[in-house]
Amino acid sequence: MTTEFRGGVQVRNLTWTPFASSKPLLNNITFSINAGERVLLVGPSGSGKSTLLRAIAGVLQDTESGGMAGSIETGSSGLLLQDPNDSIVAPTLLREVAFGPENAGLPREAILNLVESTLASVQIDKPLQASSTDLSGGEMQRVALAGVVALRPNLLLLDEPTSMLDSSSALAVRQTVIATLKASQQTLIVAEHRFDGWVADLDRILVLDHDGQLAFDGMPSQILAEHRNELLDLGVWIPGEPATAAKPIKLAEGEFTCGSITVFTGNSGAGKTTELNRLIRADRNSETILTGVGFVPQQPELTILGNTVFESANFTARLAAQGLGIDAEESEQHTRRLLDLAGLSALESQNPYEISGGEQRRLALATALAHNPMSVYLDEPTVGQDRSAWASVVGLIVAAREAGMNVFIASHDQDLIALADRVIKIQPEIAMFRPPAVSKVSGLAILAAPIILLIGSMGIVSTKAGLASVVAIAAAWLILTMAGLKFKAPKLLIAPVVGVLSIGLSNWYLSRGLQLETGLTAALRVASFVFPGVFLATALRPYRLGDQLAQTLKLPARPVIAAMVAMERIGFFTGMWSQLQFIHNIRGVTAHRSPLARIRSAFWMTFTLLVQAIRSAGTTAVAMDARCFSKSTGRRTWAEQANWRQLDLLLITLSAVVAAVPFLVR
Amino acid sequence: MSNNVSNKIKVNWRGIDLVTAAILAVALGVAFWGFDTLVYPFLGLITAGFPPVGELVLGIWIIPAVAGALLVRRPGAAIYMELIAANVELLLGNTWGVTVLVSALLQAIGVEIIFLIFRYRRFTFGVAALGGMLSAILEICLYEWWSYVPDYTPLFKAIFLVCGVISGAFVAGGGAFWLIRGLGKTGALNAFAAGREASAK
Repeated sequence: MTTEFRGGVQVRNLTWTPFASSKPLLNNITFSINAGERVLLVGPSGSGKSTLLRAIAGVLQDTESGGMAGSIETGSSGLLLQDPNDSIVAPTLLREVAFGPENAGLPREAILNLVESTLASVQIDKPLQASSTDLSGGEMQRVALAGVVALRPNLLLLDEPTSMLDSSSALAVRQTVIATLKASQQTLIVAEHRFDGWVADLDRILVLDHDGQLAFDGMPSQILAEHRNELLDLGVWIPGEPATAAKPIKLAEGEFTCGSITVFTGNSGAGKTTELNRLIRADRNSETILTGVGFVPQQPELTILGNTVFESANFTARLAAQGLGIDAEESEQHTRRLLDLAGLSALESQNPYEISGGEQRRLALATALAHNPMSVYLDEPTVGQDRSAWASVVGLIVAAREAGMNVFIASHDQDLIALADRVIKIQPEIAMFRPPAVSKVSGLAILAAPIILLIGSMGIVSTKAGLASVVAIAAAWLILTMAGLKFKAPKLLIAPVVGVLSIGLSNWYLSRGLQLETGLTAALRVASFVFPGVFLATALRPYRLGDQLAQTLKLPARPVIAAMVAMERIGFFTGMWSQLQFIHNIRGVTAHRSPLARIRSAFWMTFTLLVQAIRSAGTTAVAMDARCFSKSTGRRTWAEQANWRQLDLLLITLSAVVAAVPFLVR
Repeated sequence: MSNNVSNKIKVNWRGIDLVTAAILAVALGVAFWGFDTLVYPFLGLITAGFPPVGELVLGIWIIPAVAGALLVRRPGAAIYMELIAANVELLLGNTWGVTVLVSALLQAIGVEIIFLIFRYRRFTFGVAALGGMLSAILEICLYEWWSYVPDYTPLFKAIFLVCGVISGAFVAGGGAFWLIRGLGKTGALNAFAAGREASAK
């Protein structure tokens, strides 16, 4: 039987009801797909397209909570997700593409061959040690695709693979997918809202409706022609159908003539977002508490503040009303009207984190307009919206122009660009190839050395021993520098300096008899392991450390890998943290500069960051499990070997010598 | 969910347990690093006159350990999240360098011991607070007394300890308990028993 399903899919009476939901998201779905068929999956937002793909990939029950009924039979599959930022798991191209083969336990030579041939097949022509994230959006998605097809799955599942890309990057991804299919006879199921580019290469279309039922199944040309009106009612984007005219709405009374819409466009990764952020910073008048600026970032959830949809939308408007002496009730009514126009009035008292992604985007837009700003900045406001949601988003944008606002948008959406008064094309800066910093010393040595020094510090019981230790550290430093180990200055040197000083001071004046020597000795003792540790930490590379923990120390592979994948995201989350600070600044949260306002702001920033982290982790777990992370049978292999090198031995030996010094001169 | 009825301590981690715990620990590490500019200078001023009181913030650094145990409900989760959060501090630049890992391990072991006593089956505020308290006791009695404040008089060492334990109970235990419940209410943690209990209300 199994050979029959090589690439084929048989779904019978599949029903999935998410936890705490009263109605099924997938409702009694039955279909079968033959090996080699190419299928398009469409339906409105929230109709369960992603869920269906995850169910077929066999990762749904391991990553979400809910009740499943029915059956799915299929062969090996690969799943590509919408945002490569969630699916990329390794810092270099080599390790990214090797992730699946490593989990499958292939031998090292075979992995290297697979990685090279797969990268060539997705037209990525860069060194294997090049960064997997320092790429344009389209390149990143092709690298993610390489990671998915490296194991040569019989069935390829793509979940909105091009929705975040500009038209030329999207074309490159589509061409790569089609070329891969021609070479391998794989089966394809692709879910996409704007599927114009795909439709010519596909044999069949499946349409899900609002109730999670399979509404239509057949040849694309036939279904699109025969059920045109039903599909439009469902909010499906039909190729060649002009986008729905935005609903005519009015945000304010009176005649305004100075409003405008400016769209910044350009290839994915060309710097549209950077340009938008630069403009906001220039526009914002730091003197006024409530800036005349509204902002919707690419991740609209970052603008959430407060426990209900209404509270979040009204937050800045309330502050603005206070500042201008406007009646609070009047501003509340205005906010309610905006929520109504955004189609959110039924959700006013809901928890803003609980509503869907599309609803959060519309909430963020209503929020940005609620305090009647002079200008509004929108980063990709129409990404991933079905046709009906698109209409209400664009309706609000047009209404903002009519109300006299200047609207600045970063977007690659051609239908939105068509409405603009001005279009500015951003030219990409020439991307520089920056090799990821490969550390000369291993992570284990970096962690072990300061701990050896910590043991040595126990011997520092006099100032003399402390000074001897300082001399020994300086000598070791010199030797390491001559051996080729260069140290970078840590980012926050001030923190350890203050820490060591405060230890010295407090040990001095809280000691018996207030002896100066006591404080000095304490400071030297702590400094002897803190400063070397702080400098060494700058040479730490998480993924390399992971290789050593798993290969050299034989720690269990899965927890080590998950930890390293997470650690590689540090830059992503620090970026999100500064984005949150920026948004809170714009929204007036920290405007009063009072300690209370700051604590409140820190609280919401932390909470929002953690919610985003958990959601991103859920998607990453899907991407990893779809690449055999949890189902790896037998032993995992590693594409690169973790070695102890001479510099590691030197570092450890020197640390041991330095640690012995205070015991010898006490 | 019916599988909670089982008497056995769960030891098999799902992929999502590992990935969520690890990424949540990284995000907590980043947030703590973000506080450095908001909170730390302020606290430094307050506690400069009497440093043992500074130990009242110790609990902040124990939050990942308690949160890990409350979220994943399996042995090792506290150690896993605390070590990752400590590594993030290390990479972003912190006060104590690599030895922060020694602190992290001691703190997390304290939390693991308490949850083990309750066989990883009770996840109340009380258990979380006890976890935070034992964590602070291990950290201070086995590490900080010896390496940071060995020359304090016994009285000041005792005050130092009491401040740390109070912080362990309320900041670490209470903070993590509230945090997991708050995050659960958003529905983001529905793949976890802790999240389902919070979102079902």
